[in-house]
Amino acid sequence: MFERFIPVLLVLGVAGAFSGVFLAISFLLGPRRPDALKDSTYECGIPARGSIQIRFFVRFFLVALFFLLFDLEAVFLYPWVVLYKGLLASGAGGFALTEMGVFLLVLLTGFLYVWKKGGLEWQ
Amino acid sequence: MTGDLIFILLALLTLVPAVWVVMSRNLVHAGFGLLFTLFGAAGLYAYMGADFIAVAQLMVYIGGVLVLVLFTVMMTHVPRSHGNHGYDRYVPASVFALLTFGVLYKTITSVNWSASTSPAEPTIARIGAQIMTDFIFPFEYVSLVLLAAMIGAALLTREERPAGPANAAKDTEVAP
Amino acid sequence: MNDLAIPDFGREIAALLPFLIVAGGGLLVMVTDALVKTLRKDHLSYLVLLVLLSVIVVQTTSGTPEGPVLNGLLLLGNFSRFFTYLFVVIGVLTTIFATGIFDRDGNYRPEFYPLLLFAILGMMVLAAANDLLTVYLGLETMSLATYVLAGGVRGNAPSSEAGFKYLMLGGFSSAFFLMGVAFVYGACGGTGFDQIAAALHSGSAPMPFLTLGTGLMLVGFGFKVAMVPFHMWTPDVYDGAPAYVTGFMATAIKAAGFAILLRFVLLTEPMLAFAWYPVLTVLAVLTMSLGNIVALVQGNIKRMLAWSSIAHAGYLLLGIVAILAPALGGPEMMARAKGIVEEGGAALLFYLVGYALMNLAAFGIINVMGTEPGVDGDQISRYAGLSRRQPVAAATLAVAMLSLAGIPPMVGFMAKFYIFSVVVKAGLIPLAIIGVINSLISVYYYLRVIVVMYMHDTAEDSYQGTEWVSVAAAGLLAFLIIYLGVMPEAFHRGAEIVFRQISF
Repeated sequence: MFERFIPVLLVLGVAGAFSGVFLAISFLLGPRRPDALKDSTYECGIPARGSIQIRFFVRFFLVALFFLLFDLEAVFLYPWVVLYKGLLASGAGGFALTEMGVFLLVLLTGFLYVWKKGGLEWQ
Repeated sequence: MTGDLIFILLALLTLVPAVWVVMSRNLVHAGFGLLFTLFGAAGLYAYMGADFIAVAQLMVYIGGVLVLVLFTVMMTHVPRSHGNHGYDRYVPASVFALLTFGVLYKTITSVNWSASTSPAEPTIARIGAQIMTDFIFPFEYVSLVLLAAMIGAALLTREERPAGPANAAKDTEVAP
Repeated sequence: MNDLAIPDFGREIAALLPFLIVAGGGLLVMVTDALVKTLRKDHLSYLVLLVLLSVIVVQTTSGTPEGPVLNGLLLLGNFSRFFTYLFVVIGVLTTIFATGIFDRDGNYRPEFYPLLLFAILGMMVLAAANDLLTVYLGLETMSLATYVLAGGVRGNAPSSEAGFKYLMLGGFSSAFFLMGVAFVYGACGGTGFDQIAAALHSGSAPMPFLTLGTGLMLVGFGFKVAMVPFHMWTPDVYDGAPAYVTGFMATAIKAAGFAILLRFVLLTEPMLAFAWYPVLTVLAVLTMSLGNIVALVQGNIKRMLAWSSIAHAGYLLLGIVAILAPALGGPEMMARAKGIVEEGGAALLFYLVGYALMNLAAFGIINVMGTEPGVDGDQISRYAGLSRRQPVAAATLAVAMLSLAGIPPMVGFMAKFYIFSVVVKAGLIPLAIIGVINSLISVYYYLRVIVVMYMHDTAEDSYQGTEWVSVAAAGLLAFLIIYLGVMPEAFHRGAEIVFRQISF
């Protein structure tokens, strides 16, 4: 079973190796002549002020929350999608479409509700 | 043998960052430790042949829940804790954790497990078939559970605009 | 793989109509709230009442098929129907109380209405569940909706605290429950109640797995019904949540929790009585005693009722213990076993209904007593002289308190009487004595409210609250409390019939 995941492991390994190798190369070969100015923190040329530990706006959290809810919904689509072609061939496509349609319609109602309630606006 | 090696690697990937999550003083570091632990758990699911669970773990936990955890840390603005306060809690927590582990270990080893010999096949199609037939009710019902959660989330978005004397006073100050 | 046996749900759609109406009603309320801008907010309450009343109409008129539906995931019958009625009636009253207070304060919570319907749907699913999967789904819908109901009052810190505490501890208890389900599934090879029963009777399931699994599940249920030592959330959540939500939680969630606990105990009784009987006995005694003793010192009526609800969970657990007892006894006990199980179940159902009536009446009054928006009338001392300012409200609250204390001729007395007599019949006389002592202790703190209302003089800060629809609804409940207390026989027999269907 796990053999099926070897390609995934390969991709992970290659990605990790590439990024590691390039970081290592620039670390080893790049010239480094630090001075006080170069070492100072800045953003877009402006010296940093205050702490980076600021409090984030609550909207970020809400967007993440809505993302999570619809992400969960998407997970349920996968097994359905895998089967759908076979179901179409065997004539049960209508049933499958209705089933997923009801599922999506319920969540669409939620989407509509959140939208109309102003949940997606960045005040 | 290679199977064992893969298992050991995945178990280490799960456990070592888990220790980091518990010990770290910095909540953001703990959050990133969680990333590796969740990833290791996804690997273990895949190792056991539960491919759908593994993918769901990646999508939901690493893609969604972890982002939520990190945003929560950033929102609550907890100052980095210094000193060693909190260590006194490690003793009871460790005792409790070890006891739980002992009970679970005893229970799980009390059964004479027989390993499945048939090669595991992809589960995703079987899960799809199940939610289309036997488990159609839980499948449709889950959408309602998500909907209830969505109403709760929408409630959080309703910004409270404090309309009171304090606000009015501020307005008059700004007015020329 | 391409040839799926597409199930034919034609017959079952009709049977599931009550569930579909509540779910569809919830969606309809959401859409209405989101899209129709010209609507007055309180029109949503009429929609909710319409939905709930149509559930009752459909449930009474259509001859719904009995037995398992949806491949055995739900079990429909008298038991599920009984609890559907109970939840719907509690829902109607909660809607009336909530809307009354929204109207008075001009402060609407439109999300309250769909969430109430989804919570009721979860409870209906829970009471009809015939599979651990459906149990979990029902439990989660109910809990998710209630977390938001309890904590969703904007700008109200106690409410937020209540919602947050409930959410965190509820999440823990769900995790315990799921772990338990996993062990039971591992032991029995299935999550269906029928499969579990089959595995238990064949003796093929490994005992340590089952014991641990059912123990973890009991933690989950214990949390929902506020059983010691999983009761810590109760006072804070009951106190912080607005009174109309607290009334809903104290009655409907407790009923739903005991409905599924009853099913679960009956299912696992033959094998697991030995493992959990002693634990449940000790916990029942602790739950009763702790609840009553801490309630004695509460000056806040919502906290007092929270501890009292813990105590009542203890009395109800006594009924569960009595049901489990025959499985342990000798042959003489087994001969009487069926009778005891049936009587115990009927007593529990009767108690749940009686408890719902008296708690709703009490919270209905507390709900309207507050003098400023967002603050309930929760200080007992400020009820001074209420009998002179608001005789109807005072009388209703007095009836509810007398009934909670178990004083005849209220329904609370009969409910306790049935429970204790089953406990005695099961041969557990010491337990019955502890129960009676506990009810005697409880008389003190219930009567104190009556004393304050009837014998103390009105003070400057005494409550003035009014909202006649709520007071009238609570008064009707008070009438029912006395009616069922005087003539409990017919209802008790009905409860026996309801219960007979699920006792195996």
